[in-house]
Amino acid sequence: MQEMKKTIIELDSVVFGWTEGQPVLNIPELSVASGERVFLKGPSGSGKSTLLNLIAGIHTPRQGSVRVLGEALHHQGSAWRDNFRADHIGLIFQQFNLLPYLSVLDNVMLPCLFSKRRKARATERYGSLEEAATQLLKHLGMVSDALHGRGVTRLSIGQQQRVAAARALIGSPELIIADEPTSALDSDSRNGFLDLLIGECDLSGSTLVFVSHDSSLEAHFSQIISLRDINHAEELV
Amino acid sequence: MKVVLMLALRSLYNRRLTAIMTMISIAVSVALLLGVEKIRTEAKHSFSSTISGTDLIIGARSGSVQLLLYSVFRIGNATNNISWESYQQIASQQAVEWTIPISLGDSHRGYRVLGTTTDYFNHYRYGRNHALAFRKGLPFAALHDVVLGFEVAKTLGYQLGEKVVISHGTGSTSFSKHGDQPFTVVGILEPTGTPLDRTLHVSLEAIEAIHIDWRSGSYIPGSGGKAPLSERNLEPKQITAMLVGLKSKMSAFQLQRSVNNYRQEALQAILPGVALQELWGMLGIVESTLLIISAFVVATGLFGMLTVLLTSLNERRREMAILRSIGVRPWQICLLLVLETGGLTLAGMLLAMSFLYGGLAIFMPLIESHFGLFIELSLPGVYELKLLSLVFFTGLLCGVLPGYAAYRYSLADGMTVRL
Repeated sequence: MQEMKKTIIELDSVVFGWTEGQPVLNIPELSVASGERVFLKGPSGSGKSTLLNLIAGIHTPRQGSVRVLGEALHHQGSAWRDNFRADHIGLIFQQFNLLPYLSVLDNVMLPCLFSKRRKARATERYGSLEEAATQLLKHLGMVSDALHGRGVTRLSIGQQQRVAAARALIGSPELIIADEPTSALDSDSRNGFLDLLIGECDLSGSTLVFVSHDSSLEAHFSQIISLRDINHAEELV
Repeated sequence: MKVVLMLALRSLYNRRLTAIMTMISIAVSVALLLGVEKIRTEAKHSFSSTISGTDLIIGARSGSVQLLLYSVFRIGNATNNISWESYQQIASQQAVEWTIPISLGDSHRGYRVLGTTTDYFNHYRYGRNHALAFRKGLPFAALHDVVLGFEVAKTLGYQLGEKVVISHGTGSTSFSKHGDQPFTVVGILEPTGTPLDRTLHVSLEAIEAIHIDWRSGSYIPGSGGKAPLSERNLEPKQITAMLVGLKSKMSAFQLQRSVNNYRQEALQAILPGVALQELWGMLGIVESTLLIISAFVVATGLFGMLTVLLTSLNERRREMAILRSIGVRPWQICLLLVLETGGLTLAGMLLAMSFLYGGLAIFMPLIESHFGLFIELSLPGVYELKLLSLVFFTGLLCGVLPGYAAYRYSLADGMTVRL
C-alpha cells in the first residue's frame, strides 16, 4: 500500500549544524508518505526542532537534500520557501501558539492573510473564512460561539491548543507539523485532543507529523520514527 | 503590507498603555519644538516690525544698536542730544518728506515719557505699515495734554481727563517729580505690540515747560524766571533723536552720509532695518540655544520610544516565531516594527499639533496682553514642515534598529523560541 502513495517528505543525506564540522543533524534518509500519521519521537535536545525547521524551510541543510511535496527546498530562495510554508504547511507548537492581540477567530484565520491558496481553499469548502474558522473550532470541541470573538489570553491551555490546531488546519494544507502540542495538557485531554486532531487531518486529507517524547501516544499513529535511530550526528560527539 | 499594517495596529492597541505613554512623550517633545520655533519666528517678526516706514534714525554719535535701543525700544539712555538747529537743518533738506523729533528723559511710574510733535501720530508706522490709531480721545493740543500708550492706560487704569504727574529721570521710584505741572490724559492709543504701548506722549513744548525751573538736574523754584508759561518761548533747545521719512528711499544713503559727516555736531544716522538686523543677530545665540534644547528634548522622546520597543522585543520573540511559522517573511517582521514606530511618531506629532494649536488658542490672549507678543494661528510653515518630517524620519529610523534585531532573531530562532 505505502509504495503506491506519493512521498510528502524526503530527506537524503542531510547534514545540518550551526558551525562547520559540528553537525546537529546527520540524517542519511527519512521519508514520509502522503496521508501518513507519523509519530516522531526523541528526547529533548535530540535535534527535533532543527529537523522541523528544515522541513518547514526555515533553515536549509549544509549538505544533502530536503524535498517536501516533491519540491527541493534547498534549491529555492528564502522568499519562495516562506511562501511555500504559508501555502502548504500548518504548524502547532508546544504552547503560546496564539497572537495575544487577535481574537480567537482572527488567530484561526491568520494564515489565510498570508496565503491566497489556503484562503481560496477555505472559502471554497465553507463559503467564507469566518465560517471555515467557526466550523473548524466546533469540530475541535470549541462549541460555544461566545468563545470565538474573545481575546485568546483568557482561554485555558487546552482551549488555546485547539485554536492553534484550527489555525494549522484552515485552508487544508498538505502537511501538518505538531511540535509537542500535548505536553502542556493532562492525559485525558491529551488523548481527546489527539483524536480530534487526527480526525480533522483525515477530513482535510493532510499528512500529520507529530513530535513528542511521550511514547504512550504511539498507539494513535501509523508510522513511528525515532529520531535517535535516524540521526547519526550524536554518535560523533 | 496592508496585513502587516493591520497587525502592527492591533499589536499596538494591545499594548495601548505603553503605546499611549510613548506617544504622549513624543507629542510633548514635538510640541515644545514647534512652540519654541513658533515663538522664535513670531518674536523675530514682532521685533522687526517695531518700526516701519522710517528711513533714517538720527541721534548723537554712539553705537547704532544703542541709538536704536533708546529711540525705538526705550531701553537705556542717550549719551548726548541733538541741538534744535541741527534738527531744523536736517528737516529742511530737499530729500526729507517728514521728520519726527523725539525728546526722552522723563518717566511716569516706570513708563517712559516721550516729547514729540503731532507729526508723530501722522507719520509713525509699525508692523506692515500700520498707522497709530486712537482707542479713545485725540492727539495732544494744549500744553499739558498727554496721550497714553495702550499698556500704560490699562495697567495704571487711567481714563480720559485724569491727572498725571511726570517724574524727572527714568527710574520707576524717582523722588523728583514735576508736581507743579500735572498733565491731563486726552488720548489713549490702540495696542501695537511694540514699546509704544508703554510710552506716554507729550508735546516738545511741554517737556520744555516742565524743565523751566530745573538747573543741572535739580529743582530750584523760581530759577527759570517769573514769567507765566503762556508768555514764554517754549521752543526746545535740544532733542534726543529724530525719525526721518524720505521722499525717495534712494536718497537714504546719501543723507546718512551727509549726517554722519555733519560738521557742527557729532551726529549719527542709522537705517532702522540694518540696525534691527544687527540687534537680532546679538540675540541669535539665545534663539539657537532654545532650538538646540528643544531638539534634544525631541531626541529624548524618540530614545524613550526606542527603549520601550527594544525592551518589548524580547517578550515578542514568540510572536515573531508564530508569524514566521505561518510564512511571514523576515523583512515583513522588520516592517512590522518600523510601521509601529512610524505610527507612534505620526500620532505623537498629530497630538503635538493639537497641543500646540489648542494651547495657543487658549493662551494667545494672555501672551498678547502680558508680553505684547501677537502670535498668529497660522498653519505650519515650510521650516516647521521640514522639522516635522525630520522628526518623522528619525522616528522611522528608530524602528529600523529593533526591526533589524527582530529580523535577526527571526532568522536565527526560526519557529522555535526557548523561553
